[in-house]
Amino acid sequence: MPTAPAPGSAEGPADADVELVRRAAAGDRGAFAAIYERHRTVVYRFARLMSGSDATAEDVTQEVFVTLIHTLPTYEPRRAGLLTYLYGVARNVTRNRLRRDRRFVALDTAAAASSPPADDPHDAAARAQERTLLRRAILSLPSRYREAIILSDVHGLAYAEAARILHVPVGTVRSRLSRGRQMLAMRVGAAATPAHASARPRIERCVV
Amino acid sequence: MNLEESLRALGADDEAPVPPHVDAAVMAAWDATRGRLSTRPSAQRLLMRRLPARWPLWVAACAAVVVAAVVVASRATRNEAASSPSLSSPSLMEQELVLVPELAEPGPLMLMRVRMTRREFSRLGVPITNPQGDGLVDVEVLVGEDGVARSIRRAVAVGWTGPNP
Repeated sequence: MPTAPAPGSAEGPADADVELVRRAAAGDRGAFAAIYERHRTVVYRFARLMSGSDATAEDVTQEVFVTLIHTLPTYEPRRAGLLTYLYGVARNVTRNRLRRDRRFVALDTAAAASSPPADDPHDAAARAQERTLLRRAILSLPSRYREAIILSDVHGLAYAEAARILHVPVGTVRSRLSRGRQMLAMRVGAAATPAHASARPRIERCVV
Repeated sequence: MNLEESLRALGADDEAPVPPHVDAAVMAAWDATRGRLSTRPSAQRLLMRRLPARWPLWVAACAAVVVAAVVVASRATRNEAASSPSLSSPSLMEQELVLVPELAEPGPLMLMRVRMTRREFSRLGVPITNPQGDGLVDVEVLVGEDGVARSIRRAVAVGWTGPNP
C-alpha cells in the first residue's frame, strides 16, 4: 500500500495551487478555471465511486467548486492543501447527498460504466466484469470504510493525507482500511460465486 | 483476483470524464458570484441601501411635518399679533385647535391621548398664546407603529366645551 505521495496525491502540485488560489481569490477567472481544470476529474471520480451514480457525481462536483468559489477569500493553504480541501468538501457533500437520497434508488449506476477498450475482446469483457463487480462491492461497504478504500487504495493517497481528509488519526485510517479490505474481499468473493450469492441477500448499496 | 491490484487498476483505468455541462455550470457560478462581488456599488446604490425600503413615504411624511410646523408657527404668530392688543381675550388654547392635519402615513397610526400642563405643552415647541397660564391641556398625538410620534392631531384645554371645528 502506498505510504508516499502518489501521482494523484493531494500534496503534489501544492505550490502551483497556492499561487492559483491567490490569483483566483483576487478575482482572476483564468486562475479559477485552471484550478477547476486540474482537480475536477479527481473530485468527480471520487464522488462517482462513493455514490455509484453519474448524476450524483456531477452534482457533487458542481457543489464542491461552487463551495470553493465562496470560500476562496477565507481559504488558507497553510491549513490544508487545495486537493485535500476539495476532497474534504467532496466527502461531506457526497455523504449529505447520499443521506438525503437514501430513499431513492438510482437508475443510472457508475458501476456499469464502460472500461477502456482492450485488444482482446474476451479480455476486455472480463476486465469490465471485474471492475463492475469491484465497484458494486465498494458501494456496498459502509461509507467510513468505502471512503478510506477509495482514497487510499483507489486514488493512491498516503495514509496521512487520507487521515487529514477524513479528520481521523492515521491509526483509524489503517484500521478502517484493514476492515474495509476484509469486507470487500468477502463481498467480491461472494458476488463472484453465484451459488454463494444466491444463498445470501446481496447488498447493492450502503448509504451509512 | 488480487484485491489491492484490482483497486489500483480501478483508479488508474477510471477515465470517466466530467460532463461539459458541469464545466459550464461551475464557470457560470463563478461569473455570477464574482461578477456580483466585483461590481463596486455606486454612491447612489450605497445611499439607497442605507435608506429604509419605504424611503419616499418617509421623506413625504417628514416634509409634511415641516410644512405643517411652519404653517402652525405662522398662524400662531398672526394670532398672537391679533390678540396682543387685548390680553384679556380668550387664549388660543381655550379653543379646540387642529394643529397638524393627518399625514398620508402608509402604515397604521395609533391615537394617543395625553394630558399635560399648558407650560409643558409649550415647552414641546407648540406655540400657544398663554404659555405661562394655568390649567391642563388634553392632547391627541398620532403615533406610528415604531412608537415615534408623527403629529399632534389636536389640543384642547381641559374643561373646554366648545363645538368641534
